[in-house]
Amino acid sequence: MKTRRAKRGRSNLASGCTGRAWLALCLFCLWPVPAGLFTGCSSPNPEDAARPSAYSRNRTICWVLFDFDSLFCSPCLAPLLEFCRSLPVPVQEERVRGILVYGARPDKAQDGLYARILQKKMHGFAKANSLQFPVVLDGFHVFNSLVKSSVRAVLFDDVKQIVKAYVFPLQPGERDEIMQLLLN
Amino acid sequence: MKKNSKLLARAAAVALIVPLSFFAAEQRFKVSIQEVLSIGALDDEAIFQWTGVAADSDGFIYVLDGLDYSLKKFDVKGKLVKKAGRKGQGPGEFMAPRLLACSQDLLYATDQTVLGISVFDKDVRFKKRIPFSKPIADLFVLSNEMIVLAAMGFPEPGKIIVMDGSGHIQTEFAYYEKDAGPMMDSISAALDGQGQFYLAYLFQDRIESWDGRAKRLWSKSLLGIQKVEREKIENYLVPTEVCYKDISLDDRGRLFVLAGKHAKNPGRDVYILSPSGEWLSTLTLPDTTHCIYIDRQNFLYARANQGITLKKYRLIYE
Repeated sequence: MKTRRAKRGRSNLASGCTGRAWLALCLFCLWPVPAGLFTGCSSPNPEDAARPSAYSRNRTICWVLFDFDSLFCSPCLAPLLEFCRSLPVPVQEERVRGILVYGARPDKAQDGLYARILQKKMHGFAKANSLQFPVVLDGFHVFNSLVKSSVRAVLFDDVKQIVKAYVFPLQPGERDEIMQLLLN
Repeated sequence: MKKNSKLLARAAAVALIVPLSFFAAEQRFKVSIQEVLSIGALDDEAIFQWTGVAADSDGFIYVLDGLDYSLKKFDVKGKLVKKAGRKGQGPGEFMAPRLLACSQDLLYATDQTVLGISVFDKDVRFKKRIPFSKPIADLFVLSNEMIVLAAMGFPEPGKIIVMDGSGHIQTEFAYYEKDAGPMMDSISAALDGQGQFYLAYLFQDRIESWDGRAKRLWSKSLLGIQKVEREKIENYLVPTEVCYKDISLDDRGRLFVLAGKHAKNPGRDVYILSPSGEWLSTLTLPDTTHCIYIDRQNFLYARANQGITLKKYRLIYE
């Protein structure tokens, strides 16, 4: 599945797609984590995985970026959780990816242990909040400055040529806009 | 001349003996710990982020978990035997579970974002919610139907309140009169068998003892901090440096005070004081913790692995 998309991405580049769309495609194609990791859902049935869902042909990907500290702040994450719960489970599993951002540790030697601790905490949080999308730790702290005290969503769509960022709580109309792109 | 020499020799001996005996007395008292139980590892689902802990006389351990909004019961071997709660504000639900206390038959839990005290039985079945209208800084029990809590009250002063199981206040006193700003009255508290309260201020270098008639018995500063750093948030100056994180008493009435940012080992050093406030010893925990709890069998509980692990230690006095 991913190989096929990668090939399609390269042909788009050759035909002159924009840098932003290329970035989106690269990031999507290099996505390192299998669905289900850190989420509360159990491993998907292999037969189900092979069967394309109604949303498989959709090319829109939604990244949700949030800070580790916000896991302990119910009001901070409430709008994001509400939004995610309004998405059908297949959409969460296939089209949404979470990125957990956290501060760099002074003791580099402990980075591996700390990452595993965060993974466990994220798993507990996802399970208790019925989150169905995979979450990746931002281990290289790529998004620290972007996510500073805010929860964000970033939409990518290479076909529709969209790269757009949103801040939670969403403004009127933004929720419908994201839903429309993810569901259609 | 001979007489003077003898006097000088005696004075010199006394001068030597006094400081020697003082240090000797300090060093004779040493507390160490031995791990007897560890609950929660990287690859299990026992604990995701524990916040409050309590243990009963049968050795069961009760834990509030802030990441899966639950109250968990573990047996003496650390096996999870019961779990209750989910996210929400209804009966038996949690948004941000925080403090836990245990009486003979009941468990009392607070939530940082939901006012009141939730009461559970020992099988972690929700029984009732005791109404209370202010944030609770600390909580402990006198009996099944009598609890003591420290209430934060900016702009009013913080108070120690004794209430019954229905939420009726039996007695109360203000422990912090001066309006020094929000959160400055944040405390951790403990109560000994003689009805004497001990308070450790989170954002001030102050440890105090009060009797049950609202009289302050003593006040100590261990860290030499005159002023804690504060940050302006909207219109308020809010403290940002924790001086003392928690306080607990052992079975001999000694105070165990968990030190904050200014300690040699922040979140690990535990200052041990006599009931009259004299420093006796310092114990350094192997991992940082947000709180310490000593049960009736004199076991000390602390955090490890950033809160996914609960450690139970035996206290050893040498």
